[in-house]
Amino acid sequence: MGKRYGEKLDLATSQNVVVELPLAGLGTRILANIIDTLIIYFAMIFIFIVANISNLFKYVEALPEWVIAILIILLFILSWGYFPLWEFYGNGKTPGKRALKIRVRMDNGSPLTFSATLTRNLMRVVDYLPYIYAVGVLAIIINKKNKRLGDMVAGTVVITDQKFDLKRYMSEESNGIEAPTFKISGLSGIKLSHHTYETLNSFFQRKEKLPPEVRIRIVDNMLSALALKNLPEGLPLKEKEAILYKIFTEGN
Amino acid sequence: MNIRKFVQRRQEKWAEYEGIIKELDKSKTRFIQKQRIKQFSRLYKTVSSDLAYARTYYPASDVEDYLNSLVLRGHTHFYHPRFTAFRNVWVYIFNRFPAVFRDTRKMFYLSSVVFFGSGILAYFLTIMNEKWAYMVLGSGIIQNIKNGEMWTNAIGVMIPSSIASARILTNNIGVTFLVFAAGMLWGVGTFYILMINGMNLGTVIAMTTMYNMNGDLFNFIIAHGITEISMILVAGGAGFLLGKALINPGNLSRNDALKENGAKAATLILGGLPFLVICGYIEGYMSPGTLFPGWSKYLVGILLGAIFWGMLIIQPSPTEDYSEIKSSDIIKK
Repeated sequence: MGKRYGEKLDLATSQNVVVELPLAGLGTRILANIIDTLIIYFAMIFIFIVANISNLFKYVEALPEWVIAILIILLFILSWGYFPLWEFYGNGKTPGKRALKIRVRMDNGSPLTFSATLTRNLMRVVDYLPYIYAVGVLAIIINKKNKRLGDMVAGTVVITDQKFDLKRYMSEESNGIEAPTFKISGLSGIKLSHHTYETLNSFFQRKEKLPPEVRIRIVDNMLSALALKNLPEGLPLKEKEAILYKIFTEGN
Repeated sequence: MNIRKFVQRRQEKWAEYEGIIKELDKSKTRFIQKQRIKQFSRLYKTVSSDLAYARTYYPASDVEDYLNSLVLRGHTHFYHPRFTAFRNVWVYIFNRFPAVFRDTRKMFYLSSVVFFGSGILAYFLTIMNEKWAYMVLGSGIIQNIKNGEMWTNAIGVMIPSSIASARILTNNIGVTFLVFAAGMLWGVGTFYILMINGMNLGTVIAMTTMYNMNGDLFNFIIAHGITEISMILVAGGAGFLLGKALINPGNLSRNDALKENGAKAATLILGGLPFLVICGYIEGYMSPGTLFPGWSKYLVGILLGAIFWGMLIIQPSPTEDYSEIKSSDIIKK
């Protein structure tokens, strides 16, 4: 079903249509951050092992100085540059964000600028205070647009990538339903709200899996909700479903 | 209209539109062909109006969300052609950075006052009572000064220059980042870091004065120190910009003030980064020891400082404004 209960940020376009930015929730963001932090830690451990390889293994020669110097700079880039570089070159996504299907955008929905991503990530120092992002989490809870301090300063928002299924509106297969054996007039004139449509849609997708008594109950409820007149009494289930399906495909 | 019929009827247009967006997403260039622009703008309007329709008749459906995402993706391409930050590094460092610096110089004055004020204070405190030095400096450094040795010589002897440079420049950039970010604590964090660093410097100078080692100290500091301290102060100014937005946002809301000052502060930090890298290398290779004669250190230090400050202070002729993206730039080709 379509309804999502997430928070949204409205963005007016010049077409006078409001576009909504679906904001990412706190939990998703925490999870994404945990993934990124783990990646950084493991990479750091790896660098430390390489740097100390001659201490760790007896017969390995010490690395030349310039390699150590490069490792130090790599360590620096990892700790300060991991987030900005991933976000800038990865279209607003770090590996953690990619896994959780969220991304960072500017307030107006456009892709990040480099100075914005640098700012929002330098502010992690403050958001992290006093431990494990207490300030940032609090800010996200309080702020209407789910922003931590870094987002406020940089003018960015974290949004979710939505998934849509348009195919179910396109399918033509009738799931083994035959046309009703008798004609009822005015079926195509019936107004279907899209809620009714969605209900019918999911019913026809799942009907084979439903227990028979449930199936009968739903069909009866739907038919009475649609308030069909001149429907003969005591029709078999198959007929009723055929009528519903006709309404489903031809209703207005 | 039945939502199913709506989708089936319009789907072709949406797919066509999505195709163009995907093309734009992929293409690294910021230019597309003329005909494509026309087609894109026509489809953009179509999809926008479809979104308006869907929002009225099928609220909270997949179709609405789908169209919403389509319009959003197109919107960002339509109104915000993608410019990479490093398109013109040169312009950024030598025009944007100084312009923002001049615009926000009051904050730089403030951080200078804090830094040098606490430095001078620490200097006199040390002169009056040597015990003060033990509160600020490590006892190893103090012992070195008393023995008449430069502790910084150890940098060149114990650690190879390449490693020292890497350590120093990463550390300096880290400190700069911290001074800036700490401004988010109502400026207090920036104040504190500047104060500690100022006191450090003041105390060291006082100690070396008392034990007649000033010459050695300045021999070490001068090559990198002028520019490095300047950059720390600029970063302090950036931190205070954030603090100001929080404490006194003026006519703007705190949120907007933060955004505005945040963008300026980011320019100050980014623009100064290359200088910090240069300073780090000088500090690692040139400053310690006696490999380079004293006069050459003074020469390099003063030259680098002159370039840095000349760039910041001297206003370029106002013929071209690099901060604005000209529409003619985009339409070309």
